[in-house]
Amino acid sequence: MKLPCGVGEDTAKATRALKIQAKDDVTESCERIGWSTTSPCLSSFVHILKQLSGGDELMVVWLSWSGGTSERRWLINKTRDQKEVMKGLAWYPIQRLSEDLEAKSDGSFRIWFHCWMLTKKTREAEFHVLAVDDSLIDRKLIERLLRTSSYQVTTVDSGSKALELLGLGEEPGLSSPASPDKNEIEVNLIITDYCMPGMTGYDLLKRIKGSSSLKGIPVVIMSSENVPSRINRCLEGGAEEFFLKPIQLSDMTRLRPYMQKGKVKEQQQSQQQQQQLQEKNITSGSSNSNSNKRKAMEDGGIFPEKTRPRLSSSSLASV
Amino acid sequence: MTPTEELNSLMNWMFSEGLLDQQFQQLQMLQDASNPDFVSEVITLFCKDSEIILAELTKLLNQPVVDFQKVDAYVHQLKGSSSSVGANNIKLACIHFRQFYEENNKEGCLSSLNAMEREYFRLKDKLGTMLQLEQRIQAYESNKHN
Repeated sequence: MKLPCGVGEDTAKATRALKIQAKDDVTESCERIGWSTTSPCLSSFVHILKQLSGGDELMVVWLSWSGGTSERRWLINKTRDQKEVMKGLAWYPIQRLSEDLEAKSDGSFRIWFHCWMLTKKTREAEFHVLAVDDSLIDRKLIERLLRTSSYQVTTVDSGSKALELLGLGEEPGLSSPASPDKNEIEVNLIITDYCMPGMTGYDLLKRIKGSSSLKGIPVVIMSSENVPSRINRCLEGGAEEFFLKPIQLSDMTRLRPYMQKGKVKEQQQSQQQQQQLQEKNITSGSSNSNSNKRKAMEDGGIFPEKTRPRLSSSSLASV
Repeated sequence: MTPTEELNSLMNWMFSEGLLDQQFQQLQMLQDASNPDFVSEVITLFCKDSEIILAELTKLLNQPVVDFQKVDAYVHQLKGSSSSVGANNIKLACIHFRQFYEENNKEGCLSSLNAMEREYFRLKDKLGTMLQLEQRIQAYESNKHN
């Protein structure tokens, strides 16, 4: 496992001692994913958490820390008992956890923790990327890059396959956004190679931006050649960005803002639609708890649902 | 030398000779506990792919009249994949080919094609050694913990 640069030696030891194994299914929806046997410092703790969870929301239990006085204080939940753990816990998004900890720390933090994580079957990766490239090696690479960055990935080897997946027919006129027969997938971003036989990345871009149902999906173009006229053409055609190959891990961070922007728009749209549905259908069978759940997640991870009791403020020891 | 020292020495040599470049290190960064064979999988794919391309190139060059446009298309492919895996010298030979091709320099084209093939087999050989050393090290590490 790779540590961030500038991390001290004691942290390296801590990480070697860290067992990263999914073990001891607590319930059907939760599995313990790691625990510390020694104590990494704050920045590597957050880094380790990210690696363990792959960016998923994490339920951190039994988190204690000690400052310069080496006095341990409980931060979240005073027990390692699994049954106890399942009562009254807050779901902590990694980002918020690290912010909370950073606000409390003086830098000489040491942390002991046990972490549980929702298993894949109950959680989905936040964003789904469709990658299009005719080269098998590049598909393998981009898939790994995207997965490492916690995105769900689908790869295809041509623009026409991409359009098929997205629910667009071969001819430009044939788009049916609400077709029940086709297995359309939902995609938050499309990343495509420029140079492909048949339909180029540019052609694909134009088809997507020309479709009423798909034009909201952000498109990023990749190319091994640095041709300014090509780059401009793509950007003018509606591409968000143009990446030069070979793509690097650092390029992946540039994708998130496009996907987040797209998702907010999509949610606003779907909430509007649901409101309209509710007004029409007073005795609607399906609940919209899912969309509320999503919104709650974005607000900070504490669910106001009856299945998961709210964490009371007293169980969070003040620092 | 221990296997680890041998491996480090080999890697340093490969980087300094230009057989590999920084992109290969990117690949190594993508390998972790959940994807322990990523690098070897990519290398295997690359070798398979490259040998197919080199075989096609040989066929094309043995024609009485060489279709350099088709040759260029294959070289473009090889350039892409070698760039993606960090196979630096192969990538450079591809770039040189394309420059000679644009200048209509047949001699230059042929010499870069030879360089492509030479560099490929040179790299394949060293990558094979690298993987063997890694396996030895891994076997040693897991024995230590058992």
